Amino acid sequence: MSDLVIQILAASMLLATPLLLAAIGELVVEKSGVINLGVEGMMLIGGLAGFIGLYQLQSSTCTMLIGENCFASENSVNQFQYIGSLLVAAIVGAMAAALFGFLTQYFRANHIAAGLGLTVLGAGLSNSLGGNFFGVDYTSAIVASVPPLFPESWGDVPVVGPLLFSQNLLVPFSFVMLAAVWFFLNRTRAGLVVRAVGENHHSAYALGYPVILVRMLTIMFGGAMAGLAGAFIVIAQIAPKWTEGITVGKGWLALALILFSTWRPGRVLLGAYLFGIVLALEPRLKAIFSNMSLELSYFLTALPYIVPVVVLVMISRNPVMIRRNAPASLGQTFEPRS
Amino acid sequence: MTSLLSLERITKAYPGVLANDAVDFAVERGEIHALLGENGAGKSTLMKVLSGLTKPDSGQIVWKGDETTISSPQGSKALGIGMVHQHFALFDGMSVGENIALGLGGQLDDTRRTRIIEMSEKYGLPLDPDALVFTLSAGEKQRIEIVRALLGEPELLILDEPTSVLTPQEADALFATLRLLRDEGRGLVFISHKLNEVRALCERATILRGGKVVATCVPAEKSAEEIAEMMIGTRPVPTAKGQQNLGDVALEVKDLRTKDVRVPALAVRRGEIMGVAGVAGNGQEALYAYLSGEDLAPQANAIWLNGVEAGRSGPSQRRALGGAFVPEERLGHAAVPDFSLIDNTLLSNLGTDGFQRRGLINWTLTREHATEICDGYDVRHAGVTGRAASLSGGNLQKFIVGRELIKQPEVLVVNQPTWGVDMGSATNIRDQLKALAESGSALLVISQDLDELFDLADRLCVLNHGHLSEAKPTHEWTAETLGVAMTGDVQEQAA
Repeated sequence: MSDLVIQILAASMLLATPLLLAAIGELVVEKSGVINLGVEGMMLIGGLAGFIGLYQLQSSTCTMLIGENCFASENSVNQFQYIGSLLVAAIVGAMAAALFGFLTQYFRANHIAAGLGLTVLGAGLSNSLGGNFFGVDYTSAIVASVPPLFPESWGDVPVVGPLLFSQNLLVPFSFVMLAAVWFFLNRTRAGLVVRAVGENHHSAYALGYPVILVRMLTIMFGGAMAGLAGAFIVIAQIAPKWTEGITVGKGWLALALILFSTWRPGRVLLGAYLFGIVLALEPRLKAIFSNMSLELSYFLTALPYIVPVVVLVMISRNPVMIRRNAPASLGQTFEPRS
Repeated sequence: MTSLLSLERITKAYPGVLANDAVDFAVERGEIHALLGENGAGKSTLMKVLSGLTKPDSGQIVWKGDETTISSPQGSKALGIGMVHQHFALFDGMSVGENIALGLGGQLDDTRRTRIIEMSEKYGLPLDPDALVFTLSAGEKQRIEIVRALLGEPELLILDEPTSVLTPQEADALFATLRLLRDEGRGLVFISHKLNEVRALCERATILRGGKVVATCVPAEKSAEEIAEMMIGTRPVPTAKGQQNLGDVALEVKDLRTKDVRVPALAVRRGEIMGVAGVAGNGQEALYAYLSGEDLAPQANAIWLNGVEAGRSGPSQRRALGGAFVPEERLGHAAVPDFSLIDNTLLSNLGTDGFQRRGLINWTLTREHATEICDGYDVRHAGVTGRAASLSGGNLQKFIVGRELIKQPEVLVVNQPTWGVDMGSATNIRDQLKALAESGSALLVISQDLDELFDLADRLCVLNHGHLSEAKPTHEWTAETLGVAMTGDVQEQAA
């Protein structure tokens, strides 16, 4: 029984981590008063960039060691190559976000329009570039799986083995980032300034804080996190594989989680894991109750998308806390008053 | 002994207006110095100079005997000048402590928390550092601003109309704090137009009018009437207007009592222009909203239009009764900035015959009507398809006034008809309003511009703290009586 619980928890980590990564990044962006609806697009671009990075790192190492005839079976990647590909994903995600930042902060474009544009651009661009653009068709490119962070035998340790030692690097990283973001927003001076900019950009500007610079930085942080989330889906969630539109709406789900968790990091974590756990439960329940009706089985498929929203809405109804945490300047274009 | 601060011959011109004309102003240590004046007298400009938001064209700023320049808000703070603004620059969703920390440039730590509590206890400004700003009253919000300014250890503290948002009890508490600060040897500048407060609190007063210093006096030694006269000046007293053919009452308010305005009685007859005077922020917006139907009166029988109870009717119903309304704000209230003039014409004519039939808009007629308004009321524009926001203030004002005038309404309510409009357009608008009254309509004009009211109105009443006084023929008012009515304590008649 406890084995099943641990299995489900371990599986839910794989499912929740990309949501959590993207949502943490976008949470900081929204706390500074910017709403970037381009999360999905940044995840796709970042995810493809990470995949291409890993493929290139792998084949260049392979060619170096073995020579021209380098077969997929001989391929392998190590942690450093993986981290390298993640850096590529984060940088490319941040660059995509910077495009959104320039449009909204310097050219004062509408946040919603620019964000939707970024989503469309991300989907289209990743389709083209992931096709045969660079001379390699990445939809059929084969990349070896990333080995776990710790020796494989550690995975047999009860409880912590499957939950900690067998997990991908980005899983613990998402928890560290969550804690870091909470600490940054609530305990540091820079975090206070970010919140002030999101709360009332005119007052923040009048007190001498650089509104536009602060927002550019948070936007790029959000892009880097979305890039990592995309890379996790492409490289680590199953085996490394690039397909068009591989993120299937996880970016939108991350955006919704922030809204329903009323901009509170702890509740973003709760929402992401509720989603992961219910989604991980689904095939197991279907296996146990193999003769369930078709309607019930459809309902079970929808459940991961219903449960987090319902739970978060139920627990986040306190209007004072909503006013406390919701950035009041969200989505408003800032123009300094002369 | 040198003054703490002395301004010498400060001059600042904006296009078309000399906001400060060789102003001399000095503040000593340990005094509360009042700066008095009407709207537009130059108080705000002088404060902008002191807070580093504006550079004067000429003149000297002398701080503790040394000539200096103030080029930024930070520079002003570093010099030792603290400001408490009329409109709070606070972060509503954050705590009191976080707001103060942001103003001082630091994170809220325990030392700072202790200092906030110490400071607030010492000066009688009770504050809870963990309270959220949006849950606080205006008086408490002001305390945050004051504590924030005091933590910078200013030697000169400037308060811009600090009592305008306070209840009388809160104002008394504030005065106790200000006296304490004065006794510590700080200099205080108290900007106000409430004469009784100034007479009770301030050692000296400098009175500005039209950008010039007209007097410096000890306010306790002068009567409220004398100070009011200095503020408003002696104006040519309007002569009684000739015999008019006044008709019956077309707009009537009977005992309208809401949380923001109290109107015991008001009746405007056909052929008459009623003026409503008052300092900004005394309930003009609310009065306009109740008259136009944007806010509904508590009872239907509080407002009568053409003999019909209209207190509970919305703007469209009131238009159907022969009313027309021009709000103060041109862009965003009277006109949609990004809509064309044609669209904006339609907005106040949706109920007018012919503009729509079975839910479809007659664009040809609307366009012709928009063109007619522009031609008839001298609106200079680049085409009626252009955005409303692309018009200059004066032309847009002529357009929104003309849009109502062209209907020849029986009752017209206008709030600030020429606010921020150039002289030519203002004269044009006033002439049109007079012509409408002569043709037999009833007009109510709310304005802060006394010259305008003296020019237009047959009768005048005064709005002070939301209370509308009895109307008297314009020529029976004098500068003193009007000044006292606008700025004095409200003596509400038992109703």
